[in-house]
Amino acid sequence: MAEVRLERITKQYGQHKVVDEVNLDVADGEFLVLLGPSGCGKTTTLRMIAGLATPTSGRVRIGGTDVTATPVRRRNIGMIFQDYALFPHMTVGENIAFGLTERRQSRKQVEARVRELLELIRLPGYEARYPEQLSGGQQQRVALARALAYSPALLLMDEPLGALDLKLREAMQIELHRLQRELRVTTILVTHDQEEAMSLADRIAIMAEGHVQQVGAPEELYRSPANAFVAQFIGKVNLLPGTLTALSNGVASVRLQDGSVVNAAVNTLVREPLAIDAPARVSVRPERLRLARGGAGGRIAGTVQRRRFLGNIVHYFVRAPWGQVLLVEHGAGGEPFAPGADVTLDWKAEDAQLFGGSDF
Amino acid sequence: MEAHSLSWRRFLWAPLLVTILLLVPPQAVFFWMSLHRQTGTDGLTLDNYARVLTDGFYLGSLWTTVWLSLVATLLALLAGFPTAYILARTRSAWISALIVLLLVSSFVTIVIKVLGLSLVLGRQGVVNELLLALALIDQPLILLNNNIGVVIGLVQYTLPFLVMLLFSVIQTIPGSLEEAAELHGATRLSMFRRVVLPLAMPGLIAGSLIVFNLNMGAFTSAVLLGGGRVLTLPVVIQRKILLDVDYPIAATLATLLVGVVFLINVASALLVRRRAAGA
Repeated sequence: MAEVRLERITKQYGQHKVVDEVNLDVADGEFLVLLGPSGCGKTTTLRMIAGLATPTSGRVRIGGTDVTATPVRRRNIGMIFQDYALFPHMTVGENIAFGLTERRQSRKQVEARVRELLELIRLPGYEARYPEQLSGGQQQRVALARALAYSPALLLMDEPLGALDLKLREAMQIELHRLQRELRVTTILVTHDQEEAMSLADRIAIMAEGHVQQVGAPEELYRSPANAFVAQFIGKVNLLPGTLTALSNGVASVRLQDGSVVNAAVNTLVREPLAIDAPARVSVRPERLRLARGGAGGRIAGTVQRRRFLGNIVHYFVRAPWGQVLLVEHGAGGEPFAPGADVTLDWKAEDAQLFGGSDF
Repeated sequence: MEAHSLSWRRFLWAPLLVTILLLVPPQAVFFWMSLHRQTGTDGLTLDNYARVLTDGFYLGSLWTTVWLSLVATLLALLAGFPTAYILARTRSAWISALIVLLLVSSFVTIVIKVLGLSLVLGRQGVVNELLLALALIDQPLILLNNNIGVVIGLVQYTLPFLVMLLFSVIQTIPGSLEEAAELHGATRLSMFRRVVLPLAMPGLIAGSLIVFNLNMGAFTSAVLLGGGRVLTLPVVIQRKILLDVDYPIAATLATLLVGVVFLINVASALLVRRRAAGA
């Protein structure tokens, strides 16, 4: 069990920085998820923690010790690879025992430990089977058992659930969460699936273009995203473009493209400089928007383009006066709005957040 | 659609027939010849086989052929496997260039290759000059007109093929397996022994057999680098035909060679299957 610290970790190929001065702290026993789109540097970061890639600069510390120069096999970590990397010519038992036999444990000890682990992953008696005889979900559990066999200080997972179908993925998420809680092993998981991140993580570190955009508990990231990228990546969001007209006491006034002026809260985490008359965006989550019959009241007018019934919720695609299509989420119980209906959109002041006009 | 596939199949009969015609009749004729005491006489006889199999000279030649082929195969493996591994695992733009170079080198006619070797390995050749200059030896090594020269020639000829074959074999082993092994505590050596070698074994055996078969039938190396002293079976067969004009014995020896190679291959295949079943 150990804490992990990344100090200004950088990975550079020629001029291109895949990972750019990343600082990260993972507490002992914490489940941290590295989340981001393809190419953001999350897998490279994980591989540098594992020792499978060497940082161009920066330090990796596991349990307080600088392991940047330590070879892979001495870092005492377990890892699940994206393709599971089970040894096809070895049985399930031999796969799980691989790390133990490398550490020269006695045969009896090894056998007992393998049995214990097979119980843990709910595959008792599978010692003699071969990986090719197992289903995807079973292979994944064997890979997990192999990684945990010698009780490593750190468990790493590289998109482990990507190849599984939805139902199986959800079941495995519950399994992983349960096991991590039970064993209290520091875990770092890489994924591009934000729902997976939200359901598993104690904290999420969102990455894009080699940088960590924000680190925090799932709820924190959802309610107070540091920039528009985070807001868009976690959950759905509407970004209304406009111009900043006033700014005081953490509240901004923005003139939208139909001329109306709305207020938006300024997140203290937002780092971009905000100048008067500069382009800005107001972000509101779909579930915070309220549709009402057209007429007076509400902040902006709109026309319903489409209604999607999703069982427990209803999605409305509403066309704003300036052409942008906004997403509104209602509970299934309310009055339905038909396509073509004139509506007004309203939201509570505290549910709107201000972002700069640029991409992030 | 069905008519289309049928007409395709009809086309394949022609090359198949040509292959059979080029392969089977000459072998059949040779085998037929080996069953007669003299070309043209009637009366099938196994006399030739009796003569060959009880003559120390021919048996010695067979043994020399097998022994040299084995040694050359092992040396090629020792040199070829690590080379193929490094080529397969290194990410560099140079790798494809090196592979192309390897491929091109295998196109060079064997006679030219062997001639080049005979210049390099001579008493005053590059190898001896270098070793003498480095004071590693004080007398030039005799690398030509003996078994050593022939083995070197065999290795030189088969090495490019073996490397390219093993290269593609190793590429089928996912790199993630090696990473997983190292991550879970294996040293490089242990990883090699426990993961790479077992998975590469079928390809290694297949490659070794191909090289062995090539070596058994090798003629140019034995003739040009053996100096008339290394009498492998192909050399003896050629002499029987050109010098002694003794077709029946030559045919017998040829059939013997084919038979031995065939048996060794079958035995190896059975051994592999037994190991795979027992595993």
